[in-house]
Amino acid sequence: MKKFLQLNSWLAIAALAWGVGYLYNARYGGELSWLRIMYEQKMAIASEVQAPQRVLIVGGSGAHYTVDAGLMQQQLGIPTLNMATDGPVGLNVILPSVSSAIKKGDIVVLIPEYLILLQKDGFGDRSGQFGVAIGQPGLGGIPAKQLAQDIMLLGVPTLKAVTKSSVDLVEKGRFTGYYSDPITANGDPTVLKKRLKTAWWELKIKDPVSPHALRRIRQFKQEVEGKGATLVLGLSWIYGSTDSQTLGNISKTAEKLGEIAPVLYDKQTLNVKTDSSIFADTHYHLNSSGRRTRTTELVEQLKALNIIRN
Amino acid sequence: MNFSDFGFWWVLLLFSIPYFSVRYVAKSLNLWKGSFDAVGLAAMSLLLFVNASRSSFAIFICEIIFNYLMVWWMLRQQGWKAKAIATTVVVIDIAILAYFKYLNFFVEDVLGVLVPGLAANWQGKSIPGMGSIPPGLSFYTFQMVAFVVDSYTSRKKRTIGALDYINFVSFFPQVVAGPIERRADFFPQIESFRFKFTFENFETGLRWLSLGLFMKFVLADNISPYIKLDQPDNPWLVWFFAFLFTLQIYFDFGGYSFIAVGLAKFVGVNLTINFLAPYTSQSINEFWRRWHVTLSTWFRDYVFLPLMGKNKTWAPFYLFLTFTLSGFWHGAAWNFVFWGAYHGLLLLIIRYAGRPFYKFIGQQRLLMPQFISWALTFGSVILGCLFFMETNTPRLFAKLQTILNPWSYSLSNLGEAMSFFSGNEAIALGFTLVLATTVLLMEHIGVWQKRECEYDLLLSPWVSRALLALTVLLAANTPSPFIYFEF
Repeated sequence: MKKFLQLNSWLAIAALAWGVGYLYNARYGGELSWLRIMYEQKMAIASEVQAPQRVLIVGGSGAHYTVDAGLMQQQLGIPTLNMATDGPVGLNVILPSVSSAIKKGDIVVLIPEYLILLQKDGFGDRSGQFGVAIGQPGLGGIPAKQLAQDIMLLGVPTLKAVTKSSVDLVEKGRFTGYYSDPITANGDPTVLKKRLKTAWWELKIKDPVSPHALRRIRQFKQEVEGKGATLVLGLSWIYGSTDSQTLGNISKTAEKLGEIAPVLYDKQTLNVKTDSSIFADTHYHLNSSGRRTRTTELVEQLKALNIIRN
Repeated sequence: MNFSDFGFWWVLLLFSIPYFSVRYVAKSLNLWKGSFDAVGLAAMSLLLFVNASRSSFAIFICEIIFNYLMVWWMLRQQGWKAKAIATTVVVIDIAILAYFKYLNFFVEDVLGVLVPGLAANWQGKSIPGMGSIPPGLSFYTFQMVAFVVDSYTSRKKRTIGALDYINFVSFFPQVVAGPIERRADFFPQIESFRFKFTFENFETGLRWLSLGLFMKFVLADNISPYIKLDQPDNPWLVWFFAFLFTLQIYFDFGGYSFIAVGLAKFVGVNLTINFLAPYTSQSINEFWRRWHVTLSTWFRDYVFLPLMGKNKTWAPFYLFLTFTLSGFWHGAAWNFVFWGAYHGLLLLIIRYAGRPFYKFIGQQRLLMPQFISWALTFGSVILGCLFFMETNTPRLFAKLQTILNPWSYSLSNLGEAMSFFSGNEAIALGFTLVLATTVLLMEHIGVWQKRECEYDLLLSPWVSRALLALTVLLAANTPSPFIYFEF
């Protein structure tokens, strides 16, 4: 009996440490926890806002920090919700994670970053952990091996993250994270991230959209239409290079996506911006004035599709 | 095996669950034969090897078959025939190692110096097997060579079962990065292998495993991102990064070795402890008795002693040569040759100047002679690590120039070094160093108290459980590659 207890103490200690790590990572304190909280808030908003027609913005942080859903709502006159989350969650998990929020009559505007469009399997660094954190393990059909690894790492806070949180606690009296700032009633961010004083370069897009992303978006269209909603796609605004490779790949991406659903983008610039002053901390995130300009352009493009009912 | 790769644990789990379930049921029905354990172990080891690298597995299997058949033949011969077979096997084994590990170096860095344009011409060629060294090649080659020699010199020329030989060379915890096991220690444990799942084996295995995991994933992997090689002008930083590397390489390789020891314990096998608290050493001789023990003894028994023969007059020269060769074994690059030669030189200095020096400081009681000896030894090891970590030869010389120039130790350079890491980075590194120092201190206490094992304190029940908890909480989520995999 003593030996049995002694051996089980290893299991108990490992489970206890893992549990503490899980609480930190997924419930409160770690980056994933803030993402989960933001996602749950957005889903709660979506369930509260009922209307015959709504616009739901879907994508990663490139959509979350790009579209001003509040402004769009004013300009379109219909409820608009920013449902975008985080690129590393991956297309395979982002799409089913918002699926339950889609209702009949909705216009779903999917604006995926190129990193999402280029993924060969639709999974990113946070796919497995995000699914577990929101209570839907295996969401998106994540392979068993990756899911097992992600679940294991879900209880590992890491020294780096623990240090950051400890410093936060001392300096600010609370834990913080990339997505820890409050969001508006439309799901928009309230705090825009500032660019660090590091070298800034024009983003190059080295490949066109992957066959997997095309297949998954095509399937998503069927799911959206099955609910009586409409899918519209959009190209991201990027601070990017205007070299022929980048423009060629974006053009090809737009063309391929256009075979699935209408694609919102400026055909002259292909949404490649050369003015870095409108961007925030990444090549996809815009500052306040950039978001207003982007949103106004998006509204015009949406109106041109003649699918908005006022 | 790459313990940092989740694939290793995944395959181990996927194999173990059905295999041990079947074994349990079959045993309860009296249908299980003891020899099935040996088959299971071989299958497990080979499956894990295939999972690690398919191309290396092909080379590995060819070498196993060749070595086994040749040893089998050798054991049936007498006199010069047996010697000729043993020599042939050793030469071919070393030739295979040399082909994969040193061909590029010899053509580009040695012949290339003599023949202009050869290096550039050679780089354009596509030679099979060039580019990366098959994982584990160095370690299992040394183990195979030692087995041939030990079998040749053994008094009892008893035949060896093929399955036992496979388990001897492919035992999954140690095949890729050692410890390099010897026939006398390891073969009796692996011969007619049976799994021994006892409470003691599990408890001891978990303790070693916890220590190894903590050293690798918490200490080595959290130190690794802070080591910057591109800072040749500031001597404080050159020393500091060499110091960090000194810690990283020990915790990385020690961590690997202790995980291997822990895994082997689970199945009832005792592997050699490859590290004996090397950073507690008070002389370079002692350091080499404590660092990578199985490699040091391998070079002693299969290089140094055969080179020296019975004539001990040239012993210092052969010692220097052996260490230079040992450096060259670590990698086909000049910095490893310099590193080996540097340690060979240190040993010669200790041999000729050690006694007068110890006599001198031994008289200065106030100067804490033991501490001085330890500090000098540790400082020498850090300097050696500078050779080891820096594969860019011109930059290595620039760094040596910097640390030898007294004027470069300026306050402005010190200020730059102090502010090199800022904010969270400095705090995280500082905390990692506190943990690392605590571990080293516990090793020191273990040595000072002359405990049965240097790691007794770290392996005590609650400390090892605490290490497991800390590993779960603080492990880096992006492990750095095992340094010794490159060798």
